[in-house]
Amino acid sequence: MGYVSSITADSILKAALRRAGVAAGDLDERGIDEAVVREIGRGLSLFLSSEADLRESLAKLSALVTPRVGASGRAPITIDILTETSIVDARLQARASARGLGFDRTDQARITTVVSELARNIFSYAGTGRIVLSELGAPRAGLGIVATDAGPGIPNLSQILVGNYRSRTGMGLGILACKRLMDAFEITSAAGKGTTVRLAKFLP
Amino acid sequence: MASAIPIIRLYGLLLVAIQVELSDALVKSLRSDLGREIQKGEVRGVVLELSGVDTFDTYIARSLRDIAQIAKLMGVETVLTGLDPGIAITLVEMGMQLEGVTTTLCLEDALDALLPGRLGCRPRDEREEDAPLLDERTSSEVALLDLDDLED
Repeated sequence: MGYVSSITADSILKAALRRAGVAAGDLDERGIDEAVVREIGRGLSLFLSSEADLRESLAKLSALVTPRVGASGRAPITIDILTETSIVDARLQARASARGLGFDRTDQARITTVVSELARNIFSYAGTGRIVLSELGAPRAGLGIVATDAGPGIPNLSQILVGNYRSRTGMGLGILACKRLMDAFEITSAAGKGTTVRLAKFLP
Repeated sequence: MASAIPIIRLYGLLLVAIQVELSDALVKSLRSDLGREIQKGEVRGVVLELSGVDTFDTYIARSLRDIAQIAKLMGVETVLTGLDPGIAITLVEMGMQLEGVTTTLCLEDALDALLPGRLGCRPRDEREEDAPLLDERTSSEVALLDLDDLED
């Protein structure tokens, strides 16, 4: 870390942990996460003279970030939705995850369909976004799906959710279908800020 | 980019067996290719064989229904066949309807539906009586069947 003395490094770390809301005692167990790296970066930027030094230090720290893992040790899978072909990528990843977690063929079809639907909504309405698939451990084992975008948001969400609205392109049906096919469903959408859909399918 | 889905002409039918992951681009090209193929004439029906399709989101379902309706407008019936049970359950739960589309369990039934009394196709019950019993099959066929059963 260049000329930053050990005393300074110690104080940067302490300040970063405080701001990231992590107790120093928990660090060994939890490992550092993205929030801690970000806060350390803020501290370092006060001491390091060049942008390049800062980037290098942050890259080294980011490499130490431990992915949060579920019961069987699988790291979450992030699928960036950038083009139309990302929809197929998302589908393939979803099927692989569902199969890997032990879902039966019908649940695999449900999960793959939902992820395909979410990916298409992101591509069609927001342009780009991402879908994260993660293994759920407690309280119930299963698969968690989070789809986020920074698109225009869904203006008539409440109408869609009660089934009173169907677009020509069928999006209303798509969101409702996701809700019907999953065990847990939550959607937040703000005009101009984007949409986040969180879903879960539990293992029987 | 995967190449287009092949359309096979068979006894005046257009047979499309979808065995690849259906991207939106593939669905669109299938729709226009089928339209062109029907326009060439002498088409008695279209069979979409879907046993290789394992995702059926609303876009794909709608697109296949559209294909059937386009063919219908051109005077040709379409039969969807071979839907996986998981897909069928998913479609019903989604509330997705394939209005006006004929579906059959297997390819032979689809051919029966489109070419009744032709091709030497017999009603389904007769056919099953004549089906070879397991022990009449060659050992390699039996081995293949076992592998299929184990896949799940």
